[in-house]
Amino acid sequence: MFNKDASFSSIYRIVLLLFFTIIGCSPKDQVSEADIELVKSLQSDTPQESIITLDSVIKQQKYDGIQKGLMYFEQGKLWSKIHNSTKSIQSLEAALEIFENNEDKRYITKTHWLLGSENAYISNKEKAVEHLLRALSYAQDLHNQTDEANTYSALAHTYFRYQDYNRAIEYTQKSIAIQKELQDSAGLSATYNNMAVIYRNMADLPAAIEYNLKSLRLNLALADKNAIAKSYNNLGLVSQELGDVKDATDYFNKAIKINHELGTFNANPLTNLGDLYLDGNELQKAEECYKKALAISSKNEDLASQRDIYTILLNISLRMKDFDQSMEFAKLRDYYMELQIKRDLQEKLALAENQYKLAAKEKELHYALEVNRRGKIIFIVALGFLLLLVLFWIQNVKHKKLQVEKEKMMLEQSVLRSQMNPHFIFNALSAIQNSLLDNKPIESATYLSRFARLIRQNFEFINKKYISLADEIELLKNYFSTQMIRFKDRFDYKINVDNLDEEDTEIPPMLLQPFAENAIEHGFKGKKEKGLIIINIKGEEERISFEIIDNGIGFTPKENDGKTHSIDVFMKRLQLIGKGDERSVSINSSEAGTTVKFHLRR
Amino acid sequence: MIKVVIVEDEINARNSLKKLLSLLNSDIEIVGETGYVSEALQLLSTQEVDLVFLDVRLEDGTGLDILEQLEDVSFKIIFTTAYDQYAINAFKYSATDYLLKPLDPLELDEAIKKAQSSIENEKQRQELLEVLKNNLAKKEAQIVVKTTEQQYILKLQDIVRLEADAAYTVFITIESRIIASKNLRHYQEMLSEDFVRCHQSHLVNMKHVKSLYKGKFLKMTNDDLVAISTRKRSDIISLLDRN
Repeated sequence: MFNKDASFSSIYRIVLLLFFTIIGCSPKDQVSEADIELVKSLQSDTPQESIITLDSVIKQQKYDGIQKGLMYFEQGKLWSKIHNSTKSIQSLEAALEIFENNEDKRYITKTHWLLGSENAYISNKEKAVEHLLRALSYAQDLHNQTDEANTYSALAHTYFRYQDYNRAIEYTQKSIAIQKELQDSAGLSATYNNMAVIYRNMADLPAAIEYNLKSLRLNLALADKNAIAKSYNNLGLVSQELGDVKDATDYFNKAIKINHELGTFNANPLTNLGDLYLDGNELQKAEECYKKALAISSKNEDLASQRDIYTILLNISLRMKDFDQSMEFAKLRDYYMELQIKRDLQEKLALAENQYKLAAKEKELHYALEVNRRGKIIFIVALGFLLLLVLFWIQNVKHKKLQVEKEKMMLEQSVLRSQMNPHFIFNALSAIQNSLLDNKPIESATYLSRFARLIRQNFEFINKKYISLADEIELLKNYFSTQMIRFKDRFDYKINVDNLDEEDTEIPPMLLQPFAENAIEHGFKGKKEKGLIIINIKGEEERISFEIIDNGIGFTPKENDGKTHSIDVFMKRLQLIGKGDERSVSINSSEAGTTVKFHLRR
Repeated sequence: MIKVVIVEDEINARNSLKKLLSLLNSDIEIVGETGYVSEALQLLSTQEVDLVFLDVRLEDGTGLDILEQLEDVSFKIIFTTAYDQYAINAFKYSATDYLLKPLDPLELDEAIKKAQSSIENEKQRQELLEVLKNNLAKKEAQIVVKTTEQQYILKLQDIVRLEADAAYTVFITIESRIIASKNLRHYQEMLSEDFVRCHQSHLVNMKHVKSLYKGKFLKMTNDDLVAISTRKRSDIISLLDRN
């Protein structure tokens, strides 16, 4: 039904288009924009900020599967970085679950490994070992020897923490074996170093030195100066413990030298050397070392170190009884202590602020989503309303169209009724009957055919919108002559056409007949003299003017007699033409006659 | 001789009637003719008249105006009209004789014969005229129902239903049952507006239908159940829905 209605289908299409356009551009853009922001902050922010960012990203449910697992994994690593093992374990466990669901063995390995390390930190030995053994079996399963070696190292570290040095050594050796096989010199160097630390803690200082030297040799072979410096520093520490002050001093100096050459701001060898001198009561040299260390710490903006170094310097100056200096050091120590406290506070505040900002951001995001959701609902409701409105409008238009059609039909019927007034028809027939009964066959035949012609014309013209003026005049003449059957010579008529081509001029059919009928049926009744109707039709510039004049007794229009007057029908017809011609109608009626005037725009 | 007055304003119709009367019946004497109410009143009150042909529309009023103004109507009346649906309905309801113009000679002949033979008394004629006047005045519609013995005047709104009984029709009204001497079809044609033929044997006043009963009957206001024929069921139901 609606498909047939062209206006509806086009409106429908526009509405649909509107719908998709709005849906299409409204909800998603903002979210993805926010996403980019989050990813950016993840790269540039501190671990704390990144963690929060990841949190909100995870909460948005934007990622699922491995992606989400990786988010948790990264978060776990970040927590680990800032030594929050509990949180780290939480994140990693979440990550692990996802990886396990997705059977991603590589990440299962890595996660177990990290979980093991974190559990080790919080002294959850059983868990740590369990995770690490799992990591180990996965790594073996995958033939990933790097991971295997790392896992052994982690196991070693775990046992080391629980002072199970034998097992620590055992696992470290396994790690070493694999790294040797892999010829992973860098890894091996680190593992040797680990081994050295274990032995040092076992007070097996020669063994420690042995491994430190192994590490050093690898680092030298790798020409990794940073690592070399660290090895020298470690050697220095072990030597110091061995009481080998000369070697220790030597190693520390080598480390200091390399760091200096590299421009590495590592104060450790310097402070270690300072400690060494302090132990040897070489206060001057110690002070010198500490001051150098101080410079590096200052460059590093390491407030805690500066504070610590000033404390030591204070002690030294006191021991040197240099009170002026000690006063100054005390002041500086206090200053840095304060500064450090302040910075701590600032950092905490900054963190809090950051968290607040992120929370706000998240809230905003939620709000945006909510607004979007609400917007969608409002939009859908509005759309529904719009559709209803459109439907209503279409119905209305249809209804109006129908109404107009109906009115037109009614009007056509009433035109028919008014033109072919039943009384006129039957009275005309009575007149013909009378002539028959008078035994006047020729006259009767004439009347009958005259009447038949009128009826025929009525049938012909009734459905036409326009007929030629010639046809209308023909119709009028026929009407008059039919009426003359009834009234004989009681009236006469004249039709004058001026400045018009009768064949070329078109007018609505049977427009003038109602006035002719009024004159004959009412105007001339009860009038002794002969009636006369004059019809003047004149062509003017942009219109045709009509004049119907009779010398009847005039009429007063009866109101509300329940019948449609032929004049009402006439007015309505002019109205429906839509040119405003109905306003030109003027009717003057008196006892001396009636004059009707109107014009039609061409 | 039957003394006849013709009240007719259309000259051709009047002449035609006169010629037809002379051709059909030599026993008729036209004692007067006019097209005006005033003249008719004078004609009818000053002389004895048996039959009046009375046009509904006249130059200066209606045929009814004449009857209104006459003190007593002692003559029989045959109404004539060219076209007046409303008047025709009123004639039908009041069982009044009427003729349509141009006249049918056979109908005219029958009407005259019927008028001659009818034994209606003054009271009955007055009643009929009352009903006619009432109906023409657009008051509550009334109908004249003739039985073999007498005539009843019923208000349309009081008629609950009509039921066929062979060649007769039973009128069931709010308070009575009347057996009319005409068949149901006659009344169906007459009572076309509010009355619906829901069954071969039943004509019901839709205004007295209370409800649809079991989809097969109409329950009337007097609790009568009237059968609905299968053929008419859907029409009746849609008609009920509309009301």
